[in-house]
Amino acid sequence: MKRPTKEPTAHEVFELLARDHADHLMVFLRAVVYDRSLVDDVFQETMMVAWRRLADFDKSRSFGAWLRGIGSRVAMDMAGRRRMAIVDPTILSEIEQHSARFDGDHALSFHNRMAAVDDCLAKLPDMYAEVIRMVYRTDVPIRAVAKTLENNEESIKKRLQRARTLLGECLQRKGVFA
Amino acid sequence: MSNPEQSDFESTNNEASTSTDRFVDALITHRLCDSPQAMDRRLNRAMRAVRGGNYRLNAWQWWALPIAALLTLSFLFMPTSSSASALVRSATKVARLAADRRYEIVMVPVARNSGDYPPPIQATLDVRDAQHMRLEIRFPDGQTIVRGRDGAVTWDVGRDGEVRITDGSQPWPRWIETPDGSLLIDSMASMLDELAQRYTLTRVESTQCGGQSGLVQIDAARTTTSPSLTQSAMPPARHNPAQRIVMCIDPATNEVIRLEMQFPQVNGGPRGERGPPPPHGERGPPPPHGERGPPPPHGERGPPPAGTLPPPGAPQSVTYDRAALSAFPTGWFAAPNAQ
Repeated sequence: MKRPTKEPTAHEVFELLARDHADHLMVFLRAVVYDRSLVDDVFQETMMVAWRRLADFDKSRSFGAWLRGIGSRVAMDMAGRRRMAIVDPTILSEIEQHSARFDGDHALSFHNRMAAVDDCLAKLPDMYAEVIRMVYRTDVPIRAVAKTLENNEESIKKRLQRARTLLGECLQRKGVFA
Repeated sequence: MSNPEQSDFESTNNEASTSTDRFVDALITHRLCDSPQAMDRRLNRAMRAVRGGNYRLNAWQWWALPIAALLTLSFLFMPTSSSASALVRSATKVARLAADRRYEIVMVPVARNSGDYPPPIQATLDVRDAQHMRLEIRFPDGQTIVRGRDGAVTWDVGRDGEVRITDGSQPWPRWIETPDGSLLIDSMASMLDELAQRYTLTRVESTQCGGQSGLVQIDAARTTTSPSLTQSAMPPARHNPAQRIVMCIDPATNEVIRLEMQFPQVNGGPRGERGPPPPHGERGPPPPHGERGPPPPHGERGPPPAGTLPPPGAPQSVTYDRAALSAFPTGWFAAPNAQ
């Protein structure tokens, strides 16, 4: 069989790599940037900087980790220029560790590990699963959730936080979380 | 963000203060809120930006990579160049942020039939957010009108000094009629919003913009077919009828420092003089010449209210210049005591 003669362009190779690691980059940036409306801007800028710096990429390292490193610097840069709020350096460093652990050594790991997230979500006790579903999936405001559940907002916020803690512990037990 | 539901959600997100909590929150958001289609769109946008702003390396260009890498590194922490529309989008986001801002406004009227050019009309617009605005218009004859909004209350002080207070549900008028033309007063965020939809944006390579260096100039030319202006009345449209808008944006902060709107002049001739100005320097009672509906949060405009008619007569130009300001004093937007 004759091999195709057309070799992929640098853009095409970059896009393949970027697509493999884009999901994890978004999770990382959402954890780092407080203002959700700016996460897309940081994402796009990260991709543009990564493309421009592609020659610097050390092929012996993880492309995902390299991309998130650029994402960190872009977020810090934009925080300075635009008064965009991001996590403090200590939490940023810890989020990088969580990401590294979650990433594993291959881009496919991310998708495998998201299955662990699904599993842990499914195992949440009903009272927590319900509030997670209402707030995240249906995007219902917390005060409306509180009204529906005949509770107050503070209780709902605490329940949400507890649900995230339980989810984190579940992921740790599965070995996908630092 | 204007969506109150979203802000509620974000407040919860912001309380996720530990790294574990934030990372888990991001994982849940990715799993439950982000669809593969949304991710695809996001990636496609990014790849278009990558392709648009770069070039394909030819074999002979590989030697230049180390130099390019060094240059890229040095530019990494500098403001990045953006397309005109991306820059305007960023400027819109910045304009939506609640912050104390002052704009000095100058309206240049068109010539009268007699050939005389009336003197410019000056105004100062102070803005904190969509619910806190204060406008002072200074007429050449020394008279002023002041109009403000302070949360639930909208007020104005007319030429006769009378204070009128209405509830905050009264809309902030976009057009204010003066003897020599109509002054377009709107929040910067609203005006920028409109640009992306109805204007072709071009980044102008220039060392100076509005007489200042270090600013990026964006020219906006109207693309959609808008009804032409007439001397007697503009057609019923809420859009900004400016033919061309020149903006100077600070690339370090993405703030609009200067915005000049140039209006088309019908038949190229001067306008006839109009009669005396209406009381308070504005148009008649609301319903027939209706004003805009109540603005949604963060300065975004809602659908046009029925009966919204831009006023007769457009000036030559209206210019907004950002003025230096630290913060407004307490009570700056509040209505003066009614007498």
